Amino acid sequence: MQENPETHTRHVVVLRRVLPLLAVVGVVALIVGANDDWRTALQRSAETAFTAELAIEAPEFAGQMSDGRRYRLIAARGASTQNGGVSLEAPQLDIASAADKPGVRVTAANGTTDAARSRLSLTGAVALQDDSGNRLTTEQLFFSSDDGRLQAPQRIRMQGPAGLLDAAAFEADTQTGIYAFDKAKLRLNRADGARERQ
Amino acid sequence: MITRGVMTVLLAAGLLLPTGTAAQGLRFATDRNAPLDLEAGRLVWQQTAGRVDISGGVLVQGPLSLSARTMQLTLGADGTPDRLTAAGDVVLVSTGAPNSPAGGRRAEAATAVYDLAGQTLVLDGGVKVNVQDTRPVNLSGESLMLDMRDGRAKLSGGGGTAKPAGKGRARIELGR
Repeated sequence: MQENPETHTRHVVVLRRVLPLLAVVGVVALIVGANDDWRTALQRSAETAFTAELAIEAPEFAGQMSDGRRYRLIAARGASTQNGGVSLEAPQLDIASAADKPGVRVTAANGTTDAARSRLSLTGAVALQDDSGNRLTTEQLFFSSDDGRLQAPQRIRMQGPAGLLDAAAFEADTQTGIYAFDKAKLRLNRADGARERQ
Repeated sequence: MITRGVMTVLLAAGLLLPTGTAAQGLRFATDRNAPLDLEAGRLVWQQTAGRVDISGGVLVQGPLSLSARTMQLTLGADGTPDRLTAAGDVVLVSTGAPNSPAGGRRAEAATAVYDLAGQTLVLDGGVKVNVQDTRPVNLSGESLMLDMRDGRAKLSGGGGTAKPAGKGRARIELGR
C-alpha cells in the first residue's frame, strides 16, 4: 500500500533534520572514544567522586619496638594510599639509642608505610646514620618496626671508623646490632688513624 | 761434593748457613703504606662486640695478599681496625720480582694473625714457604713472623729452643 504523500513529506523533513544531527553526534563519539586522555579523565572523575584522598601536612608517627626502644617517623607531607597506607614526602625516621645500641636516623626522598604502619619503604637518596659515626647510603631501604630489621636490596656504601665499604646488598637487625653485607669490599682505615681517600 | 741430602741435614743441624737468597734472610715484598683492601663473599659486623666475621675473604695490601676460609677483624674501642685473624687454608702470597731479595713468595699455614697497629703478621701451624727464584727453595717450620715495615721474615720451628736435627727446627730444601 503506498504511503500518504503528505505523511511521506513529513517523514522526509524530520529525517533531514535528525540525520545530520545524528551524524555529528556519532563523529564526536568516535573522537572521544579513541582519545585515551578523555577516557582517563572520565574514569578519574568517576573515581574521585567515590574515593576521598586524605592529605596530611607534616605527618608524625611514633611507636615502640619490641626491644623497648622508641621510634619516630616524620615527613614534610603525607597522603593516604588506596591500600590504607600513607605515602610520605621527605620522610625521616629516628630510632632512639639504648645502653649498648647507638641511635639511628634514616632520611630519604620518599617513603610509604603499610596499613598497619609497621613496615616502611624508603626510596631515593636513602641515608642512614648512627651515633657511632657510621653513614650508609643506598637507593632503597625497608624497615620493620615490629622487629627492628633493615633491608637494602640494592648497592650500598657505608663509611665509618672501620673504613669505607661497598656491598651488593645489606640487611641488619638493629635490636641485636648485627649488620650483614653481601659481596663486600672494605678499605680499612689505618690503625694510626690515617683515612683512605676514595 | 756435598750431596743435597747431606746439605739438608747440615742445615737442619744449624751448622751451615744457607746460600743464595736464603742466606740474605727470608724477605717478602711488602708496602706498609699501601691501602688495606678486604674483599669478602659475606661480611657480618657485630657492632656491640666490635667484631667483623668474614667468609671467603682476601686481604690485599700492595704486593701482599692473605686469603683464608674464615677471617675475623677485631675493632678497637673507637671502631678502627685492630687485628685480623685468619684460619683454615691460610695462604700468604707476595708478588715481588724474581731473584730479588724479596721476590715471589708463597706461604701456607693453619692460622695467621695480622697486628695492624704493630705491623706484624704471624703465620702458625705447619708453615710451608716456597721461595720462587731461579733456584726454588722450600722452607718449612712451625711459625713465620713477618715484619710489615721492611718485609723481613723469620721462620722458626716449634719451641724456639735448640733441638736435635730433624726435630723442631726450620727445614730448608733446595730446588734443582
